[in-house]
Amino acid sequence: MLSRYEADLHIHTLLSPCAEVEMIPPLIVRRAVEAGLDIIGIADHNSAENVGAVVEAAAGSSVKVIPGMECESAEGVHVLCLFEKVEQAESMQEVVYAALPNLVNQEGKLGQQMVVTAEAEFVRYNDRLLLASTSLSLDDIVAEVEARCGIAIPAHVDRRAYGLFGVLGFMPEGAGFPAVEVSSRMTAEEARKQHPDIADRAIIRSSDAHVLDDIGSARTVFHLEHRSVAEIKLAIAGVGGRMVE
Amino acid sequence: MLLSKLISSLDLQPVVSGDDIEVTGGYVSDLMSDVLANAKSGNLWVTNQRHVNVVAVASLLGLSGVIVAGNAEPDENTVEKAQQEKVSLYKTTLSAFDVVGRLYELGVRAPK
Repeated sequence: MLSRYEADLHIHTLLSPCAEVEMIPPLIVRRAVEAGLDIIGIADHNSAENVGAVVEAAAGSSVKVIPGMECESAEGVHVLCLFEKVEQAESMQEVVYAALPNLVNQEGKLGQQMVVTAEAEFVRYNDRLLLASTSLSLDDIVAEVEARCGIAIPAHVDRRAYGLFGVLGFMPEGAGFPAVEVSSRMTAEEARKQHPDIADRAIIRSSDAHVLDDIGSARTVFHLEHRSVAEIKLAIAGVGGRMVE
Repeated sequence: MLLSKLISSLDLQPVVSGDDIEVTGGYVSDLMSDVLANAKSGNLWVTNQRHVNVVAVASLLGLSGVIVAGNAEPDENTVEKAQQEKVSLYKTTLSAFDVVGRLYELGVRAPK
């Protein structure tokens, strides 16, 4: 039996230096419930250190949390990486950390990177420079994500900054992207018209929220059997009646 | 000026050698979309990027060659693709700034 689920798969926590400090697990979950979301994806820049906390904060709520990360490729393209399990996101994080420049975050310039618990208790500052490109190419990211049964989706492809079409200008030949993400600035129809390279790929829309009010401001409706990354992949492929609306 | 003349003047290390053609101008950028929009056929492109899409862009525009600067090693699939597409690919320990400065001294200019 298929059900209709509203998803916002790209939300930052206060671990991202550019996100507001209000982006703590309990408030993200509360706002997602208020916004009528059934699924949220947590995707901080090049890190998954708060993913487990949000999953825990959502336990017993109506919201399903998808563990994720927003990886920056060597090309300077942001890629939304989503996983079934927290451990898979954390294992990806090891690969990403090894591929980041060994630099310290400049809090005064870029913002603080806070790791917190499900109850939003402060754990520590992550002092690694997260807002940087990794040495992983787009192909490397796809391979690493697929090895962890996840899905890699180029983020906000329509944006000049860090978007696939803004940075690279085209969809690379043979790129393993079954879907692309479009920002809240554009509808799926507009995106297809403006970027013919999207071709027959599925389009998801997400908020890329860095503040609570933005959560759910762009969303994707999936028809799934249940809420999982495996089901989302099937919906993107259009298998068995599952679909992206 | 012929590509071979510039390459030897700057002592660049050839990774893949394509046709020795006339260089029509120079371009420097790490943003593929910017190169696609502004570099012209026959231009010599200086970049720090080493990924395979560099070759796709160079081939699409018909550039005379690509110089990967800053002691960066082009990715394996970048080299393979350059061989397939016959895109001249060079590497150097010089920084992109130095490469461009020297090319300018030799008379290479930005595309009009």
